[in-house]
Amino acid sequence: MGFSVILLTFLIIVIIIAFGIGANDETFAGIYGSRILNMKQIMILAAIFGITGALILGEAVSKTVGKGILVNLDDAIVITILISTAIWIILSSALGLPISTTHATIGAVIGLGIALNSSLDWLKILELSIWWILSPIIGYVVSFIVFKLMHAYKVKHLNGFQSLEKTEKSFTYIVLIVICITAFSRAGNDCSNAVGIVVGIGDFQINLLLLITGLSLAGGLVVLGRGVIKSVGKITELYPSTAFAAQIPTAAILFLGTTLGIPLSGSHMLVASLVGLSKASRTPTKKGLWKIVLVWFLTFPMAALLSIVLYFPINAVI
Amino acid sequence: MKFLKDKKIKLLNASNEFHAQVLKGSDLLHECINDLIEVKLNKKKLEDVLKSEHDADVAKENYIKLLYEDKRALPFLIEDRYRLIKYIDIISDKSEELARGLQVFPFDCYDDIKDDMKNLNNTYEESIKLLIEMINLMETDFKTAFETSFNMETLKRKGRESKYKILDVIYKKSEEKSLQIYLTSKICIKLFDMIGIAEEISDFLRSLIIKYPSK
Repeated sequence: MGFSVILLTFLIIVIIIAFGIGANDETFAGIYGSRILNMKQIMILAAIFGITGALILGEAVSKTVGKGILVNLDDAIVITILISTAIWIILSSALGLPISTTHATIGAVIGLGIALNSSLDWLKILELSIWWILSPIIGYVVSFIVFKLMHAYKVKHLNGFQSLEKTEKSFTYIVLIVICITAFSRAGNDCSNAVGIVVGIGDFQINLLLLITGLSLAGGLVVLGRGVIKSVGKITELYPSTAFAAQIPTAAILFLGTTLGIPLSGSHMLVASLVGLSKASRTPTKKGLWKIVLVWFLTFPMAALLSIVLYFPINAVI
Repeated sequence: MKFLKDKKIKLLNASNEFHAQVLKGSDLLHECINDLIEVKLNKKKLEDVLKSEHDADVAKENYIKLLYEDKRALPFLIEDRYRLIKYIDIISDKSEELARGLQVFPFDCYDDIKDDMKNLNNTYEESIKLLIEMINLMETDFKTAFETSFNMETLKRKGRESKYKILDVIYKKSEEKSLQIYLTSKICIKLFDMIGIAEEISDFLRSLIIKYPSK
């Protein structure tokens, strides 16, 4: 196979992966749920931050990822993991269900490990599984506590529509700014994960690559992502202040966890924090939450199965 | 910033104007019913009630337009304000309907129900005044608005008592003209209905006071 054909194949794979990542991005769910912006405005903002985040932040990380991944692993394995992850993400996004990209990737790794009879670090897998269970618990508890604290403050200080409007407006700006920053940095990070595989195999116009990835990510968001945003944003009734209670502390803990190397799942934490919020505010959660939980449980086996099925044809081609 | 403040003031003025018109209409209707009880219906005043309802409609449309144009406002507050406008408008419409009914009412008030009719009419006026006061308090003082809402329940109980006292007397007038009995009972029931709606609105406002700090 010619080098240009291989490059083209890799490029398509990168586009699929970025599309999948964008499709399952629930960052703007709180903004949608609290009706700070409508879906059209969210799509525009998400696309802008997706593309600019990829372009501005993506380069450095993608170089690291590119080198880091391809030095140690076989190309076919990496591609299989990425494609199976992307397919599972796209499938669940099409159903409007948020899943953890990390868990899908781990599922694919486990599947390949079993299929190739490689030795798996079961201790590491156990550790990851513990965090998989702990992530939603942390999200639930944190948003519950933050809500209760905010409630105590509100009961004491809310004096009428005018002060309510003022308070909620302040939260509107805070939530909007923080979520835009999150979307920007997330795009930079996620795009680099996708671009990394191509960076490792040759000299590229990296900015062009990042632009393509950013566009694919934005495309995923616009085409399938709205379903995920809607489904997460409507888990419970949200106001700007409660969107803050659910989304900002979990984002902060997620950031802290990432810094400390703890593999917390942002999606699981956000969904659980919205459930925690609904319990704290005694507001009902929407019907069909079980589908989200079910897809979480299915993520490991399905990603594993996909990687087993896809590895052999991919290996034959590459 | 000044522009946004002006917009907010404009919105508050529009809401005050709408409430003032509704209040004016209820004052005029109260006077008309007093006239019916004490002397004779004044058709000119009844016309004023109709005009006031029309003015309230204009003020309402202006208020709704400003709400709709306020793109920066929080959607849930717009919805609640809109719901409130809709509810108050029902009172305004009902007062117009009663005024129109009074225009074609061909009888005098029975002497033996005059005191209770007066009580019911005063309760009606008080409840509308209290409701507008509560709505104004909602802007700046949830706590007092919440306490005020309980006075509305007292007024409703008072109104109900007067209503049944009146009905008790007129339903026993079997020897009288049935049309007079029917139309008099209608006036009494419609007056009480407006007190009931005012109480329902105050319930709605109370639910907002409970909802917002806990959301």
